Amino acid sequence: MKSTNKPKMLVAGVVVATMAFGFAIAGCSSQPKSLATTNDITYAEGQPPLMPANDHQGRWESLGVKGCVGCHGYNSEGNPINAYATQIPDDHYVNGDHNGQLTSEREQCIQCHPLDDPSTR
Amino acid sequence: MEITRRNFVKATAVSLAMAAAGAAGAGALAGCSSEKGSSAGASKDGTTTYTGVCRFCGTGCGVTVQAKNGKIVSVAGDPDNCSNKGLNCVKGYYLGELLTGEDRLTKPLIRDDASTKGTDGGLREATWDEALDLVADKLRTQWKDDKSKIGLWLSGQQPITEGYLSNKFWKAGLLSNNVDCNARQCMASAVMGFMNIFGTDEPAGCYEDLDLADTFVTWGANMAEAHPVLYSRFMAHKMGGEGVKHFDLTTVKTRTSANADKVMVFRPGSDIAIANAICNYIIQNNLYDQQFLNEHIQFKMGTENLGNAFDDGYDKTPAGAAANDVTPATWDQIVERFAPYTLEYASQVSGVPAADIEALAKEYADPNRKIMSLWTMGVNQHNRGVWMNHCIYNIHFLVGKIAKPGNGPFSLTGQPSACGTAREVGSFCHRLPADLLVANEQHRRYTEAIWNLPEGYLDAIKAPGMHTVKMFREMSKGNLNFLWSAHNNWAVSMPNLTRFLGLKDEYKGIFSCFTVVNEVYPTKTTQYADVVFPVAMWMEREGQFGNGERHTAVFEKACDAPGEAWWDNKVFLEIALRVLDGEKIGDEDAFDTLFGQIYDKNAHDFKNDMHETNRLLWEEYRTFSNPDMNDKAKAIDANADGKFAGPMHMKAKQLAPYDVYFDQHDLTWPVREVNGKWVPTKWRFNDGGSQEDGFDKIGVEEMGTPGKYGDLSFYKTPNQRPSFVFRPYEPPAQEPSDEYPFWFCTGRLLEHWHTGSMTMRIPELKRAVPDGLIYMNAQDASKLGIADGDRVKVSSPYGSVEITATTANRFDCAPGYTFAAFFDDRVLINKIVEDLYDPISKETDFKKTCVKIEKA
Repeated sequence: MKSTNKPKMLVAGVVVATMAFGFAIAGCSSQPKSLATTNDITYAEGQPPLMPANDHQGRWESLGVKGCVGCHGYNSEGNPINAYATQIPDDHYVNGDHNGQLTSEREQCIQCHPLDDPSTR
Repeated sequence: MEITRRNFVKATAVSLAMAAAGAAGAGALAGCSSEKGSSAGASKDGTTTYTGVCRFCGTGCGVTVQAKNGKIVSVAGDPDNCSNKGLNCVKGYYLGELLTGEDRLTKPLIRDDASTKGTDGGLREATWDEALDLVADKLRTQWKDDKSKIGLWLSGQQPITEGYLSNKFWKAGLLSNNVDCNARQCMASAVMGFMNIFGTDEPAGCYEDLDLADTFVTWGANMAEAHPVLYSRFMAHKMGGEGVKHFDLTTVKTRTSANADKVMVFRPGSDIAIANAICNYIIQNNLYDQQFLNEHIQFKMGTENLGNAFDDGYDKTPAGAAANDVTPATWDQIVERFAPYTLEYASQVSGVPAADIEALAKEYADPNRKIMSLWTMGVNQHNRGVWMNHCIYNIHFLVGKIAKPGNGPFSLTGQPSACGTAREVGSFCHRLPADLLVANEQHRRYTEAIWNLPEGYLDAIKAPGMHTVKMFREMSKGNLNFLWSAHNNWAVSMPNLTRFLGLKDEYKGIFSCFTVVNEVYPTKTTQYADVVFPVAMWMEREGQFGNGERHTAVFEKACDAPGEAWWDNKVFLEIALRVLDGEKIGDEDAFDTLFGQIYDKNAHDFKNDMHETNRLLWEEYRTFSNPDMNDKAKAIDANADGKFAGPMHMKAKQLAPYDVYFDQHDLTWPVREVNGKWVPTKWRFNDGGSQEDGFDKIGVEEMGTPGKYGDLSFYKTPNQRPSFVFRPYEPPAQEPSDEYPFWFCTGRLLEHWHTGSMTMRIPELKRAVPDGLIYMNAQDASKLGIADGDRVKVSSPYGSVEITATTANRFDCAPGYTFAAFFDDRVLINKIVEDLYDPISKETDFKKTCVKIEKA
């Protein structure tokens, strides 16, 4: 039986296989220079930013990972899709390729990115 | 260079860390070329990479840590660690900040006036000599006067060598079994289940089963919050697999329920009725594996009608004293006992539709599906916790699904080293290292051989000491005069704190008990301490954790402890040195006999550096699981003189030499040497494949019987037959009443670790969840005139607290059910939690207190 609740994580249609090696090298040396900022809070690199609560309350419960990649993921319109959203780092994608699929182990976004505002619970 | 996902993740992890340290380019190159087990070492800018392990939950995630100028600057998941494969949860990513809270304890503290206990004041700074002399004097005086009134309470968060050393001091040095640990409140029911059934503690399977099973069944386990990386791992498999299913059995819907195919919300305590109905269904429909039962299993029944441990004298009542007794049973007797557990009966007791229980029974019985049962505190913190462990194994035994890739019951552990330190080392009042029991003569002789003690020396400790609740109950009554705790915050984590913190007139013992605390931050527990020893935490010293899959991992020292904080082992040794001054073991100096190999008592210092000290302790400890290293122990293990019942099979838990763990980061025991390389065992008792592929080939060949049905040989059980023990449904200790109409359950949240003493000092985690909340059903709240965010008073027969109520759906409570985490020491929720315990494991039932709720 095919699982019916597999989310559509393929946020880009084209996988450029020949770029894999080059991208991996890039992944080692060209991580985003700018630090993530949410709710005017700046995070050190490597530390997952919390979700700003003012416009994220209840999104995880109602939409799950689809609600996250719908803005923070990649498609032909941009990376991130929503220009005001924080970009999902490349290391969250299979082989670091944001043209491809989100790494399945990283689909539980809430486990690293909880809400940061107590008034939202 | 082949680009694999592991390479990429590791490269990225190191790159991020280097970027944070201001050396992105160099770090990236080092990361790209780093291979398994090769530390990146120091870079040109002075940043150094270390191998570490997360110090929070029992998953045991490996981390890569970067330090510069004596400070940790970055933490990332270690893709070389087999347990987490590079993943972390939010707590893991913020690990570095837990070291740098502004109020780290940096000097010893002494309380001169016991009446100031329970307040913010009363502690003054002292020198190490003054504090050590005071503690040693109090301990030695009480030890000489009446050693039944001393107690040591340890932790599943200590590294292995620290737990090993402190246990050795207490048991062999002071000849006292009044040592227990917080794993008693966490895993003891699982431990007793393992020991009763298999004769060995720890599961047969491994985390890799999460990648292989067709069906997952969570029994009382909110993995999405309590074991987030393991939840991600099995959800990744579920989302990516064909027809992978998840059944979630729970009393309150949680985040773990969110993606389950079937959520079965059951009445508290009725899980045993459900499990027995599954067994009965399998039996009545002839769906069991007859050959597996014939070749591998022995049937038993146990003492029933146990009552509950409300009273301090419960353990000595007829039911309490006989709680762990079992008698052989026949298959026909077993079938007869299961017969009343129809689907309809279980449904009536539990509230779960009969069709759902039947569907789950069919899932277990389907020979074409691999199935994994996962459980944690909902099963263990249960007034029949050991029984419920038995019930889950019974199901797997009936269908022969155990110890096979993707197939098996798997107990999830709570703390980073509950397995490694508490269980494997033996930090319990009835245990010695490596599963050995103080009450067993052969075990005592074996321990004496390794500890170089005269034969018969440990007979003085053949009677178990006080278990945890007993210890605190006696303390509260003034019957414990010296209590030392390390790496735990008992004044927040223990149940019935109304009693144990002296908030009732008849229980003021905390004020007269001389209390010593090894700590890193001021906590509620230090408010009750007479002396506080400031100690190193996490990667301020080298250490080892053992996680829930029989998996040992090491962490390197990455930075110094602040101020005058010491390594715990130095604290224990300096106290041992003072207390054992002039004492003899046989004709030899007691301290030198026990610790002379590592500590120079004249210099008051270790003979070697920290790594070598750890290595020496590890090599002594691993002799327990490598009897060939000690001729006397080897003879006792083999029962060479025929004095005992049979061989001990101590190699069943074989550990590798210490430095192997630094080469390979982590290994799952039993670890076997094959062609000069040490390799782990993933599926214990299973010789269906090679040792190199993770099967227990060497163990079965050396200690078991190869060629048995299913390629399984349960060689640690005396007759190689694990016990299938029928356990009946008996109701919870309390039921909701007119006075206390709500079920109350407590537990953990994703963002906070246990009592919050560390995670509440990490700004991001505190911001995420700054306050303890009680989760309620919206209709219940409305009936009581309570709005989301209102302050409420929650009362039980044990005490009352004030807390903020919420109806948010993070915990989706059915009418009559409530939940609160215990991290907020301003709330101190455990003041209202019952302290009764499972009659066999002595583990507290934290899940089924009955309460009333009023608007404050």
